[in-house]
Amino acid sequence: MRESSLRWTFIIGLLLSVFLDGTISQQFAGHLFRSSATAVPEITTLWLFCASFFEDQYHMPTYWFAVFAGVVFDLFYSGYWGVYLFIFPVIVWLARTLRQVLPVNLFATLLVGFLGFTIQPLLSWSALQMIGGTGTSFADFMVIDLAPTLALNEVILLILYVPLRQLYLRGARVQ
Amino acid sequence: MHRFFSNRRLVIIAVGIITCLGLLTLSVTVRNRRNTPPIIQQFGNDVAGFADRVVSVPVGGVGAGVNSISQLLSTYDENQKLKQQVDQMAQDKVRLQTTENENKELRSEAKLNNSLIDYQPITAGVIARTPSAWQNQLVIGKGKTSGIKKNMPVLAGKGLIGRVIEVNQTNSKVELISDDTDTANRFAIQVTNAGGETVNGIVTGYDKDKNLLEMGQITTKVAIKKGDKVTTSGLGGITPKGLFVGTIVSTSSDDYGLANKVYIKPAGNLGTVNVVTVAAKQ
Repeated sequence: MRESSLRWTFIIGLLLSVFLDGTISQQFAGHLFRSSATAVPEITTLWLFCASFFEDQYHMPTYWFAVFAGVVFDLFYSGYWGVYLFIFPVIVWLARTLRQVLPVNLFATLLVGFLGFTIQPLLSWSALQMIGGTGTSFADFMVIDLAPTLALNEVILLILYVPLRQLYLRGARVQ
Repeated sequence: MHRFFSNRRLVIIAVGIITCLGLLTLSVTVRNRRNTPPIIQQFGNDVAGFADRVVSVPVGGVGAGVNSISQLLSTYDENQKLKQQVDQMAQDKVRLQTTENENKELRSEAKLNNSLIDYQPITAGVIARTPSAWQNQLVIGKGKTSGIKKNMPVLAGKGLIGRVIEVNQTNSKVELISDDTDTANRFAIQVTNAGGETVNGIVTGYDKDKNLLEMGQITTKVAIKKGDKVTTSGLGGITPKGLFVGTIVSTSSDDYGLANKVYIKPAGNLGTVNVVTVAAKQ
C-alpha cells in the first residue's frame, strides 16, 4: 500500500516537473534567459536523479518513466526525436551506479546532481550540434549556458534535498 | 556536515572536477576570443565577468522587485501622460480607418486584390518555452484548427519575434529570431532610409552577446544609418510586408564600400512572452 503511494507520488511529481520545466522557462524567461547568462531549470533531471539516488530498493520502473519523460521532452519541447529519450535513462543509470559507491548525504547528492545537471545539457547540446539544430558554440555553451544552469539547479537541489530525502526514507521504513 | 568534510577523497574529487571544468571553460573562452592579445588579462577579465554574472543574476531578481515599487510611485505622472496619448490615439484611429477605407476603394478601382501588406492576425497564448538554452522555442496554444501554418511570422510586443516551425492541431512551436541555426529560415527584410530609398537584405544571424540581429546579403550602395527602421519586405513567400523587425544600431562597410553587415536591435520582446500574434497572409 505504502509502496504504491510512493510510486504515485513519484509519477505525479515526474509529470509536474516535466511541465514545470517549460512553465518556469516561460514565466521567468526575462530573468533566466538573458543573452549574457542563460539558466535553464532542470527539474525533471533533478526529480529522476533524486528518485534513483535515494531509493534503497528498486521497486519502481524508473527507467521506463525516464523514457516516458524523454518522449514528452522530445516531442513537446524540442521537436527532435531521441535526444532526451536517451539522456534521461542515462541520468537514472548514473545515479544508480553512483549510489553503489557513494554515501547518501547532502554533499554526495550535490556532487551527483552536479554531474547529472552537466550531462543533461552536454548531451542534448552535442546531439543538436551534430544535426545542426543549434548555433551555440562550445565556448558559449560552457560559459553562458552551462555555468548558470548548474548554479540554478544546485540551489534548487539544496532546497529540495531534505523533503525529498525524507519522502524516500519514509517509503523505505514502511516496507 | 562533519561527515563530508572528513571524507577527503570526496572533497578532492569534487574540487578536482570543479577545477577541471572551470579551467576547461576558461581555456575554451580565451582561445576563441583572439582580439585582445594579453592572455593573462583576458583570463582575469573572464573570471571577473563570470563572478559578475553570478552576482548580477540574483541582484537582477531583487532589482525587478525594486523596479516595480518605483514604477508604482511614478504611476500618477505616467497616467497623466498616457491619458493625453489615449486622446491622441482616438484621433489617429479615426484617421487610420478613413485612410484604410479609402485605400480599399482605390484598390478595388485599380483592380488590386490583395497586396503584400495584408494579413490576418491570430492571437495565441504561450504555453511553454523549451527548457533549453540553445533552442529558443516557444509553444503557443493555437494550431492547425485556428488556421496556423508553418513558416508564418510571429509578433509580440512591438515587432517580429520569430516564425512557426511546427504546427500541431491545437498548438504550434515558434522558433525565435534569436535562434541562429543552420536550419533556420531567414527573414527577408528591408530598410527604408530618411530619403525614402529602400535596401533589401535578409536576417543572416544573431549576436547572442549583444542581443542584436545581423542583416546581410545587401547588394545596393544606398546609404543607411543608425536609427533607420527595419521591416519585413514581403518578398519570397509567406511573410507579409511591413512587419516591424527593429532599428539599426550600427553598420560596417567592407573594402568595396558596400555596407556588408548591419546590426539591428530587435523590436519584439524576446524575454517573457505571454501572448503572441501570428500573422497569416491573406
